[in-house]
Amino acid sequence: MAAAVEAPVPAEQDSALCGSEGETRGAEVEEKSQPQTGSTGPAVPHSRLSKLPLARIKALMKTDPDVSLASQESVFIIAKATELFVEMIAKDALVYAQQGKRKTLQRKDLDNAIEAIDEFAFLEGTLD
Amino acid sequence: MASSSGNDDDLTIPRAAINKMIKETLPNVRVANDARELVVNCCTEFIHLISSEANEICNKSDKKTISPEHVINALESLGFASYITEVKDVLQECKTVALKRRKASSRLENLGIPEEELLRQQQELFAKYSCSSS
Repeated sequence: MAAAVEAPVPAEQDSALCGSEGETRGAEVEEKSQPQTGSTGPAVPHSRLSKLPLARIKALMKTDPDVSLASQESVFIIAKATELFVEMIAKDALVYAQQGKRKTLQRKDLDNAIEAIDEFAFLEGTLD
Repeated sequence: MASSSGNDDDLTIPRAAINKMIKETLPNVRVANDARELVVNCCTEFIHLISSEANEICNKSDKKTISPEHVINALESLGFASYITEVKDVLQECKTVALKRRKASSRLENLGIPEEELLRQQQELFAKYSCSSS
């Protein structure tokens, strides 16, 4: 079972990593050609490096009353970690779809991934 | 579904952003809608998980503000150490971009063109563009 899980993932992972590296390099090039003169707006360059809206992530963090202040960079890396999380859970779920010989990823594939993988134990509350 | 707008606890990452990420990760795979919905909700849980852990780590340190280091330690302790390398790379790019932005602003200030001349050029540009629009 474990061997079957590992096999398809590495190749995809490489291309996904290359893809994301390309994305961030592309974002940097964009930044050079459009210099933000005098712009001290906090989120502007960051929004080009993250696929997720930083303001929303910050708002989500704040719904926890215990969470205090967070630096902008921390919000940014939480955004990045969330992107990686989506990649990871999608790929892990795909394995279950493939085992079921389906080409469509279904909710139960995610359910299976959540139950099988230790790191996703915190998600068991989201299952029906 | 979005009936209670303004309720903080209904916040999620925008569906479109998730859809895009799923598409980039699994390019030729169809994904059921309820599966996408679950991913959206899992992201919310993930963000809460990491921020909560980072917050605890921050509280134990002598700092009041959650720093990237706190977040990185949180990822490690929660079993997401495999994310750390990429997260650190991106953090470095973030700092580089911020640094370039600060340098670019200061370079502009030191162009050596006196302010009156800059104002004059600006007026010229405004005149030029208002003529072409009318």
